[in-house]
Amino acid sequence: MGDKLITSLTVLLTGFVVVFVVLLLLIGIIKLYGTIVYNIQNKPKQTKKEKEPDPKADPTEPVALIESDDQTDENELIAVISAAVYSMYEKGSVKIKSIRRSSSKSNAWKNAGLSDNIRPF
Amino acid sequence: MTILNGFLDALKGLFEDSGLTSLTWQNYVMLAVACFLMFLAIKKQYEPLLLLPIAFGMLLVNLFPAIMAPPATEMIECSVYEAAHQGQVISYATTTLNGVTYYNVPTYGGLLYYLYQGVKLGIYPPLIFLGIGCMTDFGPLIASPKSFILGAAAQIGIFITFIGAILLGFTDAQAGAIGIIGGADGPTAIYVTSKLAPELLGPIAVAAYSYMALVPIIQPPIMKALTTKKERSVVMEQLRPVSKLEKIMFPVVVVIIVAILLPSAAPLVGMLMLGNIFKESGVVDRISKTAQNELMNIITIFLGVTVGATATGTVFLTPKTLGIVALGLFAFCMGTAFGVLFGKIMYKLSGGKVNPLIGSAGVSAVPMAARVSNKVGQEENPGNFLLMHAMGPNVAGVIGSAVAAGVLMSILG
Repeated sequence: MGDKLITSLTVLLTGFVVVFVVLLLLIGIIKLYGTIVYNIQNKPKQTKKEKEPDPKADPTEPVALIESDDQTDENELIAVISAAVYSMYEKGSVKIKSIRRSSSKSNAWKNAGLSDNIRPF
Repeated sequence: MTILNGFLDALKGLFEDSGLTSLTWQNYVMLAVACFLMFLAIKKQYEPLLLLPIAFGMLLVNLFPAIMAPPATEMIECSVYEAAHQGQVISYATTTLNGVTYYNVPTYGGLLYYLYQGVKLGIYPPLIFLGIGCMTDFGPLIASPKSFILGAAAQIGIFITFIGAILLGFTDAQAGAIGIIGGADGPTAIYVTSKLAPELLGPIAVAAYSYMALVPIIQPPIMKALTTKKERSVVMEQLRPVSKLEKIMFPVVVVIIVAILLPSAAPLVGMLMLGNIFKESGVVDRISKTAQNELMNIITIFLGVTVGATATGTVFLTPKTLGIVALGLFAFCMGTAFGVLFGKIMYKLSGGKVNPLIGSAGVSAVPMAARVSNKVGQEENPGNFLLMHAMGPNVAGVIGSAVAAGVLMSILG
């Protein structure tokens, strides 16, 4: 009985230590290469930004910039929504008077996106 | 009259061949168990992909035990054989006993016997790992490598159960095979058992797969008992995005480290990581899809049915087997408990940023254990999504149990 207990405690200790050591080693290596890869992949972007400073990014006129971007986006959005609506109805049978952003917090696209992301699990 | 007698004799023969005369009470008990497992699989939908083939295999073998029978040799008197086959020349070996010559006519084994060879020879488990590798996103683990600690903690149950099995009179190798049930990883349990204690393959495989399927029942009470409402309500920070390069490097790094340090774990970890690099590299989409769909499904059918078919009443309903099933449950509960306890330690050390519920996912039943962590967390806070956080320890548990398997095979093999 004494021998059996010694064997089992040896296995317990060895197993515990080896499993933890191997997995801790993996933690260290993954963190290390994660940091290296992150630095390599983010460095070129930063140097690019430094080399080519964007005059539009001047903090004195950010509002104008955002507005113009928004305007382009809105025009594109109107075009996309109109195309979608016209493709659903026959030509000339529908007239778009206004497009308003829904105030609802949970919309169908958001829900579809969420369910698509969590579905495999 | 002769026709009537012949008819009655034929009916008598059919009756004697039927299960009504050959089945024992143990077979009937196992039929009831199989029907109950099918009920759980179909009505309750507890891992039906696993439980349904297992339960049906159990049903089949207890109705018709010869379906698992190994091939044998039947001795038939030469004259009788030749008379039955119109004197055809036969090349079978002959044996002469008391002056009578017999042909040694080979009989073939049952259908499931041949399919079972993939289990017995340790072929199916690594192939299942290949498919799992193709389906697994190690992103959460790469984003939060500390999850490995939880994956390691949940393996402690394996080694504690090993002691329990030794004290109950099992040999070292048998105890190692029983303990591995605590890893909650069916393929690993089968692989280790086929190497250490092939005689226990049936009960251990049935116990491991049944517990994996019953994760949603077994784990939540333990998780709730070991955590406070406050701990269960912790909402964790979003994980950082992981680049494609990191994901491609992961399988290569893991397989190099594990296979060098623990060569006996290489078949399992190697196939897992092979599947993962198929997925992450993005250049072998066809192979990846085949491995995670068609191949995985085919192997799952063969594995499930044949594992279930090892549970014949006369073999299964013995005190020893029931002891294995009980020890397996103990191992599984201990794995869950240690995962949660280490989760609590991480909760304290991180200043309340880690939800201890993700610790139970370290038992590697992917992705059921992670889903259970998510579900139990949402019972406290319906807006809390722990799923991706629990996937880290969950996939770490797969690697952890393969490493634990390697340790057991190195020490006890």
